[in-house]
Amino acid sequence: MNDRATVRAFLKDLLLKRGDTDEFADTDSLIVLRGRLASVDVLELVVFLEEQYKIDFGEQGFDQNRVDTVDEIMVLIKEAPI
Amino acid sequence: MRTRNPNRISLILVLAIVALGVIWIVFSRYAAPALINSAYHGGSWPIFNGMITGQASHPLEEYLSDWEALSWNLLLIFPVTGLSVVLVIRHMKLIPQIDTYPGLVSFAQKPAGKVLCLAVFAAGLVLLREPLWLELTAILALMTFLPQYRRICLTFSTLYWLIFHPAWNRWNVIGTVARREGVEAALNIPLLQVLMGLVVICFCGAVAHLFFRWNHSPLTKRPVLALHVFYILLLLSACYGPFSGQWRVLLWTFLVGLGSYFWYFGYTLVDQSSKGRDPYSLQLGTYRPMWNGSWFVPTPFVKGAAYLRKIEAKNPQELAVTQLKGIKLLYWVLLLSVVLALFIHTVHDFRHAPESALLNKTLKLAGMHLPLQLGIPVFEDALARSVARKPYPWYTCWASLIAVFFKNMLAMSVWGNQIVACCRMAGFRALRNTYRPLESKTIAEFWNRYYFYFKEVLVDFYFYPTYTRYLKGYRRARLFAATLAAACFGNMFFQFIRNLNYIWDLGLWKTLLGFHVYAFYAFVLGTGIAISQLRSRNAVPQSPHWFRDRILPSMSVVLFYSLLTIFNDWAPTYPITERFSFLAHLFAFWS
Repeated sequence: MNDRATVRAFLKDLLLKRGDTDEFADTDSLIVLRGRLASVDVLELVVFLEEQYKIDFGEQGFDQNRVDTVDEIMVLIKEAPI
Repeated sequence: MRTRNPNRISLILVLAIVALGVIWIVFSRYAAPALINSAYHGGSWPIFNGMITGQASHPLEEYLSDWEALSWNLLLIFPVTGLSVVLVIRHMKLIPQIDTYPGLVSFAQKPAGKVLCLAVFAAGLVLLREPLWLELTAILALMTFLPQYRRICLTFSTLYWLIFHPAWNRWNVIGTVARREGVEAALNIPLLQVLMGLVVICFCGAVAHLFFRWNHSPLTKRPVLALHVFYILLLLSACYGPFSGQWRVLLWTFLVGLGSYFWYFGYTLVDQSSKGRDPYSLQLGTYRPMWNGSWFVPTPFVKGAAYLRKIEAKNPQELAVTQLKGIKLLYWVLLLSVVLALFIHTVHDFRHAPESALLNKTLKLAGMHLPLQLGIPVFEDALARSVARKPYPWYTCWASLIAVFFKNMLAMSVWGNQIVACCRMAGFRALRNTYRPLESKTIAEFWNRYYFYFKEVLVDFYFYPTYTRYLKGYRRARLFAATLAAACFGNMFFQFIRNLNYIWDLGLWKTLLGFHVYAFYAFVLGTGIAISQLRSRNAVPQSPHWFRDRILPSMSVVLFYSLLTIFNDWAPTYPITERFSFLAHLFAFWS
């Protein structure tokens, strides 16, 4: 599975835990515009990105606007040091 | 092919019920009393004359009074029942989903449509008694017709608000300080406030410039922490520094001014690492923006410039949909304001009911008054009686506590969502401040749904930074610590700097001591949210039981927050022992 598919699968699972079964596009806002993910879900995403892609938010600071869509998460992953 | 609006029949039914209601009011107020008068004196048709036979023992006024009570009850029962039936049968929303009607969305993009939208919105503001409705509408009109200059208009409106409506948090402290220092006569306090406001935003601009320029230095890498430290040092200087006379007044004015913009400025500083960061001139637009209306709001609605960039309507269609959503939300708020007034009027009495122009005008026109008042004491009264050792019965205290919970929830919804409605009208797709809080099944969910933008401040400034920096190897402890940092420490700091008047009156140390009740509240709240978050990580049940999985959790959440209300007081009024005494009295039925 490529990175995009991995991220999509993770987000889908996260939404499913909230009882949200609606589909989403790579450009769809999941946090800022729709509020489909709450802050505690964002933390799960943080842990996922830290563990899977070694992104250190403690070092660069965390901004939820940068993990709002699949496309934005992909940009973050591409910028990751590994 | 033209598509028929699925809500057309529902709308016709609702309009018919409303029309019947209006006809009934006119008939019952103007036609029926004349008819009763005529029948009482035997001057009407025989069928009506025969209905009144007790002239010897009952005066005319008695018949008229009975009719008034009956007509009012009928007016309440039939339309409410009719509307409820239509809503249930037609699966209709109370406020029509106007933003989903293609014809309306298309019309709202044309000049005539824009004017109509603005007029409807302005009417809503007038009905909500927003004193600055005219200025708000004028600025919204500029933003609507010149969307490419929206952010610039926002900055100008912010400056206009600062100069002409300079409401600050606890700004009366400045007058008190000037009086105590004996320089009140030498200072023009309102002018000082405006000038200091300008000084504060210039100061913020200069600091932001330094942070943006050297954003990799150890100090600027932690901008929120630096801001906290700076403000605390400033507070200590104001309390204990060797200043007197005009210098002391100036220092306190700066403290109050910076405190009022603390969280707004905080968002500018955290925006420093954004790629498409706005220049400070546009960041300034988010500093107490015009959609706050006549209120001073220490909480940034709706967050900072980074958020605004993200939620700004990008094309005419998005703008039309956003504005229609704004109108829809404003009229929902109007409806809630009537419910709030009715709720307080019915549960307590008219003295505590807020002014609802729509309700009051309707009642006045109809010449009626509400027939039912439960007379439950307001919470402050119930607590004061408990402190005076003359408590109300335990069941009255419970009623009072539950009532204040619902009253606060309605008031929060009215207040916050009016601001969001104005923001949407300006072309920003902001989420609601309060969204279906009673649907919450966990303490954490309620906290998210009740006062969204306050929660967001705590999340952005405390929750995420703590979570991403500390206890990385310990997942549960990490979540617990981050939640306590936000809901407990951040919450306390927010309220503490908001109440500078107590610090001036009582001194820093005594204010800190008097803050113990709120500290307890914040600790219990933080712990409750943290536990709730840890527990809610489990998956949603596949086939939830309606009572066990829906009703019971919601009731538990209401109970938790209702009980917590006893301690939700940042004013140093009653000590914690009195509040525990009230809490114990609630469970007196066990003894």
